[in-house]
Amino acid sequence: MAADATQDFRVKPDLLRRLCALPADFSQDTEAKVDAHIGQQRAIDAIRFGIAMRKEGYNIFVLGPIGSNRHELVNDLVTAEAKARGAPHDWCYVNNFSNPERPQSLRFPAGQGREFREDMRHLIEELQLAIPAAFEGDDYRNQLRAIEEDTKSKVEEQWKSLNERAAEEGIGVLQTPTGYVLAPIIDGKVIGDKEFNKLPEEKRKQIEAAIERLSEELQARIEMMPKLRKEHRERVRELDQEVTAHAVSMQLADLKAKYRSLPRVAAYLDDVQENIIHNAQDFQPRETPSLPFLGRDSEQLYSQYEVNLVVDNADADAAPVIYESNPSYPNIIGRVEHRSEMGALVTDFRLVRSGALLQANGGYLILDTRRVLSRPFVWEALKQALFAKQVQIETPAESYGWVSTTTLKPEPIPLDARIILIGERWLYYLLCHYDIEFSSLFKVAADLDDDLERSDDNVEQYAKLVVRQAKARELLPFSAGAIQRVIEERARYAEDSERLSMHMSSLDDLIEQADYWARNRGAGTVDPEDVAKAVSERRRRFSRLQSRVIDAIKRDTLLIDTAGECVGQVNGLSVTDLGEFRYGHPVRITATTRVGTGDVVDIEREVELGGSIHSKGMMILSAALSARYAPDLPLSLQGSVVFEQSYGGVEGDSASVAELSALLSSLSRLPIRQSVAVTGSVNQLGRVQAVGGVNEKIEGFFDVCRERGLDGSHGVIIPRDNVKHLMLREDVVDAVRRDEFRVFAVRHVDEAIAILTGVDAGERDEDGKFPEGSVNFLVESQLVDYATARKSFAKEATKSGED
Amino acid sequence: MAKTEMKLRVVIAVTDTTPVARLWEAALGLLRESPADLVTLYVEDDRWHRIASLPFTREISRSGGVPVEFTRQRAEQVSRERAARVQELIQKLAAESDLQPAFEVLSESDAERLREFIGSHESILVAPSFISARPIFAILTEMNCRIELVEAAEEEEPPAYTLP
Repeated sequence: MAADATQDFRVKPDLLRRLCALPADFSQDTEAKVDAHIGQQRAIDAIRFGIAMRKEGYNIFVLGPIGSNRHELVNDLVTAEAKARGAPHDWCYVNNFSNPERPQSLRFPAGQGREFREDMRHLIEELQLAIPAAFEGDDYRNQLRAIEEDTKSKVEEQWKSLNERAAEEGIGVLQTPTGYVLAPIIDGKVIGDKEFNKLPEEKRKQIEAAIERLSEELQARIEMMPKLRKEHRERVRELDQEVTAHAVSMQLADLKAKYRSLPRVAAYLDDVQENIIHNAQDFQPRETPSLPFLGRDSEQLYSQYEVNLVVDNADADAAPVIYESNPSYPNIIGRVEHRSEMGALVTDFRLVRSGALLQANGGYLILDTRRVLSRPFVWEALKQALFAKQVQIETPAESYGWVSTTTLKPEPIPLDARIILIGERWLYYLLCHYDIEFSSLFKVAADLDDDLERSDDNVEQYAKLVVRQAKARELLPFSAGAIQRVIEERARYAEDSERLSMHMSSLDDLIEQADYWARNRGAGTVDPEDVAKAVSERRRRFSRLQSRVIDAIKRDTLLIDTAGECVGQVNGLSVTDLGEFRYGHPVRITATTRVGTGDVVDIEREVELGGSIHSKGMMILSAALSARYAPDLPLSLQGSVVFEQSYGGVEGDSASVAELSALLSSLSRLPIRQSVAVTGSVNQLGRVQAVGGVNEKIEGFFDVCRERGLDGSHGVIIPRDNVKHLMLREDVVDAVRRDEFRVFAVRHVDEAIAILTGVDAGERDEDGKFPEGSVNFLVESQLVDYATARKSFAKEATKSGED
Repeated sequence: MAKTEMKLRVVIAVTDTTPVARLWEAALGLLRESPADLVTLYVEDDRWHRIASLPFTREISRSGGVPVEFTRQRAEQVSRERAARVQELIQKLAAESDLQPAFEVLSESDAERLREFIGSHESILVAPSFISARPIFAILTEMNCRIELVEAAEEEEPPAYTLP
C-alpha cells in the first residue's frame, strides 16, 4: 500500500471534536423558560403516572445514577401534584381506658388534631380546678357529713342496744385490744370466780345463759359491721361520682358538641367522662404521699387525658412530601419511647412517635433505596406496611417476636402514601430478580436517561440549563463561548459527539470549577479558556497514575515502541478506570506462530488474567483466521498472543483487531509500524466493530508519542463506527490539523493491516487467489506451508509407527 | 429515807378507763404552782384476771371467727397492752409539754407496794373522782397525802366499729 493510500482512512479534524455552535440570537435571559429536566420525558411521564394512579401497588422506583438530578426531578413533580391534593388528616394517639397497652388512634381533618390537643389540654386545666373545687364545696361536705352521721348512728345504735341489753342482764361488754369479752358485773364491778361461785346456782346458770346468748348476738353484730362499712363506702363513692359527673359534664359538653361529627372522637370523649367519673375519688384533694412513688400525683392523674398528636398537618396546605435521609426502622415506622422512673423504664401512649410513613400519610415518601436496604429490618417493615395498608408502630424485636415483655401496641393507622424509591439501576434489577414481592409493590419504573440527543433544539435547551445552573449557584455569567465549551465537554462526558450527558452533578462540578478559574484570573465572566482550564486541571489532579505510566514508557521500563517496524508486534490500547477518571495508554501485544494443530493460545486466558469477553474475542479471532485463509486445508497453526508487561486482568474484546494484526504480521512476516496504535474488536468475517473509551485511548497514545516527539508518522486506528464518539482534546485535534498525528477509521481488518504494514491486504480474484505479495497472500501461503509441513510430519510419524 | 429530804412529786393516778387528758391538765396546773417531779402511777385493774378466772368467758374477735377462751395468759397480755396504751397517751401529752414523767405500774390489790410507793415521797395525788369508790382510795387516804380529785367518769374505749 502506498503511503498516501492511508489518506482514505484518515478522520478529518472536524470529526475529531464536534464543536458546539449556539444560535446567533441565543439569549441568556431565559431562565424562566428553562426545562430543568430536558431529555427525561419518559421518566417524567412514568413518575406522573405513578403519583396520579390511585390504585394499589403503583409505587415508583426511579432508576438513575447518583448525580442525575433524580431527587430534584422527583421533588419537582411530586410537589406539584401534592399541591393539588391538599393537606391530609391529622392523627393522634390517646389513652385506651379499657386497655392502656393499646393506645387508640383518632383521625381529624387537617388542623383539627392540634385543635383537639389544645381543647383537651384546656379541659385538663379546667378539671384540675373544677373537680377539687367541687369536693371542697359546702354542698359536697354537707352531703358527706350526712352520710357519715347516718353510718355512725347506725353503728352506735347497734352498740348501744347491745350494751343496754347486756346491762339489763348484769353483763358488761369489755374491749380487749383485738376483740370483746362478756363478763358478769355485780355492783358495778366485774366479778371473778370466787364471787361467781358464791352466787346461787340458779343465778350462775342465768349469767352463763345470758353471756352465751349475748355472745351470739355480739358475733352477729360484728358480722354486720363490714356490710355497714361497705354500704358507707358505696354511698360516699356514689356521692363522689355524682359530684364529679356534674363538674365533668359541664366541662365536656362543649367539646362533645364540637366534635359530634367525628364519631370516634365523640366516643373517646364519652370514655373520658366515664373514666373520670368512675375514678372520681382519685380527683379529691389529698395530702402528698410521704414517698413520691406511693401514690399517683395529679400530673399522672390528668396526663392520661392528654393527646399525643403524631401527625400534625395544621400548617400544611398540600399533601406532604417527605424525604427521609436516614431511613432507619424507627425513622420509617415510628417508635415507642420510654422514660426512666425509679430505675425502671416506663412508657405510655404519650411516648408513641410517628415515623416517616405516617408523616407522609396522604402524600409521598421519598427514600434512597440503597439506604433503605442497608438499614436493618427496614425493607421488610416497609413492604409489610404497604401490603397491610397500615402502620403498626412497634420495635423490630416485637415485630419478630423476640421479646415477650409487656409494652405498648398502638392501634395501627391506615396507610395511604405513595412511596418513591430512588436508586441505581442495578438495585432495581436486583430487587426484581430476588424479591418476588417487589414488582407487585413498585409497579412503576421511572428510568432516567443518561444522555439526550445533541439536536439543535436540545443544545439550545442545554445552554439555557447551563445558564440556570450557574445562576442558581451564584456563579459568574458564562459567555456564549464558555457555554459552547461546556456543551462540548458534556458530549465528551457522554462519550458521544452526538449526545449530551444528563449527569447533572458532573455538569455542576464543571461550571463551578470554571467559575473558580475565572475568578482566579480576576475575570467578570466565565470564558471558554476557564472551562478548558477546569477540564485540564481536573485531569491533572487525577493524572498521577497516568503520568507514572508515561514516565515508565519514556524510560523504557514499559516497552512501547513508537517508531520503527517489528514483525508480530503491535501497539494495542487499553483504558484504566479510576472511578472518577480514566485514561488510556498503549500496550504492547505480540504474537508468535508455528506449525501446530490450529490453536491460537491466549496467554492471558491461560494464566487466568483474561476476562470472559476477552477470551471470546480471542476465539472469534481464531475462527476468523480459519475461515478466511486456506479454507480447504486444516488450520495447522500454533499461535500465541500476549499483552506484554501486563500484570493485571485484561477484559474486553477491544484489542482483537490488534491481536489479529499481530498474528497476521507474524504469519506474513511483514513488519508492523510501531508509530501506529490500534483499537477495535473484530467479528469472524473480519469486520471491525466499535469499542468503548476511544477518546481516552487515542489521547493516551498521543501523550506517549508527544513525549517522544511527534513527527507526522504517529496515529491511531479506530473502528469507523467509533468516529461519532470522538470528542478529543483540542491539543490532539490541533496536532492532527498540523498533520503531526493521525486518526484512521477502518471498517475491516484488511484496512487496518494495510495501514499497519504499508502493504495492501489484497482481495481474492476470480480464481480465489490473493494478489501475490499482498498481506493475505503471504498469510495464506504460510498457512498452506504449515499444513503441508503438518501433513508430512503426520506421514513420517505414521511410517515410523509402521516400522 | 425521811420525807423532808425528798423533792415534792405530783403523782397522776390512772386506770385503763381514766380520761387521761383531764388529769394531765390538772397535774400541769399543780406543777405551775410549785416545782415538783411528775410521776404517772398506773393502777392496774384486776378485772381482766377476774374475767379469766371464770370458766365460761370467751374473747370474741373484732374480725369475726370462733370465740376463744379468755385465759389468764390472755388477761395478763391484755392488761399489759392496756397499760402500754395509757403510757403511750401520757408520753404524747408529756412530749407536748417537754416533760418526761416516770411511769409506774402497780396492782390495785397489792396494798403493801402501794403504801410503799406513796410513802416514799411527799406527793400530791391527782386522781379521777371515780377512784373514790375503789378500794385503793382507802389506802391513799390512810397515807395522809394530798389528793386532788378530778371530776371524771370511767370511759371504756369507744366501739371499734365507728366509721370506715
